Amino acid sequence: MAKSKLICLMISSISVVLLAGCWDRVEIEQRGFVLGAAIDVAEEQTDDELQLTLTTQIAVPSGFGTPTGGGSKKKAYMNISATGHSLFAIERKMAKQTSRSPYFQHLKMIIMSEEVANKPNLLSSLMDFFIRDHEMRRGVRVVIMDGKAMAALEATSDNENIPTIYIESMMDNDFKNADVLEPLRVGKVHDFLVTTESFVIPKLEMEGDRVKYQGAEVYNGGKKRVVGSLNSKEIKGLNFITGKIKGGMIKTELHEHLTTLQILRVNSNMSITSIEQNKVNASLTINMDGMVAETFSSVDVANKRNLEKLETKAEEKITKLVNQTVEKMQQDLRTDVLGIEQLLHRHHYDFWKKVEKNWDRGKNYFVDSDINVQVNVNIRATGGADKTSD
Amino acid sequence: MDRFEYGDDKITDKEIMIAIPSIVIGVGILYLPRSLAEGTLALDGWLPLLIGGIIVSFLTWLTARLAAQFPGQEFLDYASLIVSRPVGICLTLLLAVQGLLITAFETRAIGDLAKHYLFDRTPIEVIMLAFFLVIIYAVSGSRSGIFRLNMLFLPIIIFIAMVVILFTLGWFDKGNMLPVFQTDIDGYLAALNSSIFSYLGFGILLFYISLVKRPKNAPAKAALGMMAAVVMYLILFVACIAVFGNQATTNLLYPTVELAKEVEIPGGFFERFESVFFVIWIMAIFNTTTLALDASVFALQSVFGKGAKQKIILILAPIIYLIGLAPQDITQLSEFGSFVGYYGLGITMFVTLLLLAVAKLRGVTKRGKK
Amino acid sequence: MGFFSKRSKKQQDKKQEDFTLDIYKDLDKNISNLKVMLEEPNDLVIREFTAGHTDHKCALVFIDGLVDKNLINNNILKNLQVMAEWKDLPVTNANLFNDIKQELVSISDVSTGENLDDVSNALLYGSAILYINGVRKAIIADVKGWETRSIDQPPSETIIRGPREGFIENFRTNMVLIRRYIRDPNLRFNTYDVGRRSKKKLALTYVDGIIHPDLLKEVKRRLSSIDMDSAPESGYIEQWIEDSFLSPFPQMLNTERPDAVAEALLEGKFAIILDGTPFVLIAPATIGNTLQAPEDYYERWWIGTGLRMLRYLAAFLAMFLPALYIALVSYHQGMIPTKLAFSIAASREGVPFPSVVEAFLMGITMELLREASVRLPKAIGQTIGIIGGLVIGEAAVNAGVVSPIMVIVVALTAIASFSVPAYSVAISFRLLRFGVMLAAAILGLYGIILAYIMINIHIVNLKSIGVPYSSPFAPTFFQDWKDLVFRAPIPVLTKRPGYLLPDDKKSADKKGR
Repeated sequence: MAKSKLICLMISSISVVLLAGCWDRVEIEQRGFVLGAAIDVAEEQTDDELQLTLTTQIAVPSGFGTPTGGGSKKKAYMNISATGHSLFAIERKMAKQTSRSPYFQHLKMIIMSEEVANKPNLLSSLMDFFIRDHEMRRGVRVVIMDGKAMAALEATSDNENIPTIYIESMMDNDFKNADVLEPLRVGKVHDFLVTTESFVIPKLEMEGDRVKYQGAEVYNGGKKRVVGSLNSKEIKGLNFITGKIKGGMIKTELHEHLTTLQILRVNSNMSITSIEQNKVNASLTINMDGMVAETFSSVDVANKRNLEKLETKAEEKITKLVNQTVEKMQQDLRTDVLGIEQLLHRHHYDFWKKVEKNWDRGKNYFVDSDINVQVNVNIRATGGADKTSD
Repeated sequence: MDRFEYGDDKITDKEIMIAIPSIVIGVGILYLPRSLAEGTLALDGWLPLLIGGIIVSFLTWLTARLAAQFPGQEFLDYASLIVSRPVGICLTLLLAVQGLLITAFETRAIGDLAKHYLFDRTPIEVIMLAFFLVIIYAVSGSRSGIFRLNMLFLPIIIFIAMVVILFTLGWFDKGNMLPVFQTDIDGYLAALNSSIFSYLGFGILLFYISLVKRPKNAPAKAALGMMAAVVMYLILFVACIAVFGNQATTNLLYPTVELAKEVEIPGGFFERFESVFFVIWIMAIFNTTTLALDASVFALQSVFGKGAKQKIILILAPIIYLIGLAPQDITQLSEFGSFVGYYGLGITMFVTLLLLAVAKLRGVTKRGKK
Repeated sequence: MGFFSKRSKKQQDKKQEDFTLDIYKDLDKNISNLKVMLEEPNDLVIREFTAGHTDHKCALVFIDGLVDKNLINNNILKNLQVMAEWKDLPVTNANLFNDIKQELVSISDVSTGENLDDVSNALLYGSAILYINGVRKAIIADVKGWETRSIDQPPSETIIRGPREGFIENFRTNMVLIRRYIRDPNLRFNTYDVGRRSKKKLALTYVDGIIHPDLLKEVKRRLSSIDMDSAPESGYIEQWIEDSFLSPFPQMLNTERPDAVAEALLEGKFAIILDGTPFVLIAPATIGNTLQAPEDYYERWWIGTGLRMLRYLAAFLAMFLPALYIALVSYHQGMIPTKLAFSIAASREGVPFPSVVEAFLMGITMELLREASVRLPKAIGQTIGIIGGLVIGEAAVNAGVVSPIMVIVVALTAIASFSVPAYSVAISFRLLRFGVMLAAAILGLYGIILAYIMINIHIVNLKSIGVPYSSPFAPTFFQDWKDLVFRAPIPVLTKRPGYLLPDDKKSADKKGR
């Protein structure tokens, strides 16, 4: 018994060793780590099919320099472009250009040019490549680039030697400002695409050699393309509506002096009050906690009357911001990224079923819906000093 | 004495309680959230999952009770008592086929999964062979050893599942769970169907209860073990829906593994948690497969004699491996999977109910006929 | 040839013509018999004399160096030659023998030899033999006394807190050391003679009333089955009676520490002491035992628990770290955090070998170093350390043969494997490591997990004297988990390990607190 077991074991282990040829073994230094991918519409369009250009940023590890050896003068990345009409075809083509085959498991960011996002159906089919392939993570970020997407991959910064990492960490600073969107993950895009919901995609802009994280594009789930963009103010309004603000500030005035409130916490709650025919009435309550960050006025901000005044001013300001955003969404872009459709889906399923095809597309009932905004600002603290000048 | 008192091939009802979740939790849960979400809306799939679980727990209890009525007797012995020996042998062989099918299916599934998540160019045959040889090694060891392996691995499996849940809590979106109870009845029925067949494998009880020294509590313990598996399924299903939403879950091939993809270990010690999760999950699949194969070997041993274990394994191994290789693509594999499910549940229930009914009618007890 | 082989029963008959095993009345015949049997070695001392002023011829035989000469001179020779004068020695030979044995030989341990076998065995074990002319018996006086090492701190198991004494090569001393820890009248020493030729003393030690009787029966059966020429070290005994000699895992633990043995005996285990070696075997052993050290109990339980967990981590690292490195670097680069991946890639730039070869190279170098430093005298050992450090550290990296990360991995593995308290276990972990590395090289993480499962399969099928090696993990004894990965506070540890099925279950009572 013991003997036959041993023979079994030996035969099995030997055969495994002999059979296996380490098919998948690729040493780490032979991999081309793709960190960022930029997708543009190719400059030369040949046949009827749309030609795309994929630029990938591949890390060159030796360019990092070793801690002891000091930084070398070599660039820490290289950008490779290839053109074709499907991303998969381009990726294979790319392998011909470099000694290190592209490896997507460390991909951080997908950058699309506005032009690409504007083509109907293109964005969803591009995303398919990044969602389907098991190499991709769901945490990869998706951004739209103002102008040429590949330009972002050449952006420079003083303390990061790879542009993609630079952009990524810059986007992580979203808690400092209220007028930028939180980064969009490809996993989330997948959720939106399968539910055909509309959503906003954050945007990058070039400013000289540097990249700025500002603005956003609105993607309409029905039209399957980007329909328009939002500026900083509108994004701030949108963030107030969705409650996705981690920090930032609100400028108001106290006795006609500029006073800035730092946002501590925002809590927004939208609910559907009534549905008449196909007109949806929603009410939105926004609660904000803030503190006085700076004031140009010389009055005592800790004074109760002054505080109340300040709160009212801030409430007015936020209401205005929000209403502007709602108006832009309804009148201009006719796209619901405010979350009303989700609310309908979750709480008024029967009604949603009825209007599903005509919500922010087709007959567009969204445009007729009414949103009632209620803002409460609560100033928690006034900073260290009551007054700094007389 | 060759063995210490508890070191012999007897097991306790505690080990039966461990064995049930061990055989149930396997490949199934990795894609179950998808098939549940397909017919239902939002989180509604939990209801059929729970109802299916309760039904199956009852069936488990029933099966265990049948076997526990004849303590110390092997399946063939009491089946012969109830429905004569030739029929008993037929039933034994039919049950043994179930284990072989499960083994083949799980081995193949692990090949596909590993190919999907770990490998690119390694041939599936090699992946399967490596796993299968480990299974053979385990089965050629002692039977109580397999139960000990269950005991060693199950806590690790539960632990890794809990880690996944814990670290994805941050991605939970309560909104994904709404609307509630808007699924139509057909959707529920379809989900109930896939839920029941996902709790596969409790047929091993028919054989293993005979190893339990005092099987009086075994039925309750077995049902309890099944409930543990149900709870685990429920938690993982809820987590999938809460993180991805119903629609995205439907669109993911293995939602549970994708769930692990969302995990980000704080401190960035390592990334791509799904590889770790999947690798640990291989232990769960290993448990399922060894129990299934060992139950089959046990069944065949009762027909062909105790000493024939190595021979039985040597003859079965290539057959199982070839069956596992047979499905050509993922659709055929899932068809094969559902066939295994139908066959397994069908044959287990058929045998259990038949024997219970005939035993009742003919008044057979452990001492023979009255 | 010669009469060397006379103790082997087969040849005994052949040589029967040269000498006989009986003891004769004739003193000269007895002496020549003995001389023939041992072929007159030059350390054989034969002192012939007459007792007192009588005509009784006597002969005292002993082996020089095995006996304490002072004892012989003062307590035997002097008595017989001088004291016999004051005493009227009887004339009849029967009474003479008894009188001398009872009254004149002042040695505590005296017995009677009936035949040559008794006599020669005793002689070779350090007794003095007194033949008296006309008596068909011999007096055997135990006057053992040879050079032994003094009790010292065990070099292989040093601890910071705890008793500083260790076993030595002397069998009796070792028994005494254990007796000093357990003054229970139920402490038993069953002695056996092992080795056809070496005839070594072996004692099976246990506490009656704690150890499970079946366990005892089984180990006695196995001990009595031992039949080999000699057992120079307890390792021979271990390998002869262990359950599976194919397994890489030791199924018995060895220790030089009496406190560890006493602890084990009180848990319901048994110990085997062999003459001539300071290493005492403890069995049954389980996988959990291999990672415990006596010190765990001497420090407070937080520390004990922390040390235990550290050792589990160490065992894991010793077995899997290089394999994980290979799997991550050659297969699953996606699992390494991005920046770390870049620095590993940068450091491997220019290394000509795949990570497997690199890991094997360094692993084997490490083992070579370890082996070399064990064999060499202490003074040179240090040099080896320095050379090795240079080879592994600077030179190999600078030459681009291995990457610096690999050096870290190998060093960490080595340190981890040295923190496993049982040396024999640490070695098997290190051996298995190479197997796991191979698995990782072929199938990456998948290979590692399969290797892990296979090791587990082996462990659950392994037994130590019938006790499953994987207990109390599985078969599960939850009560024993208090003293496994964790070490609960001493007042909580009131039960002996359940997996040993001790007869007396309780070892302490909290009520007394």
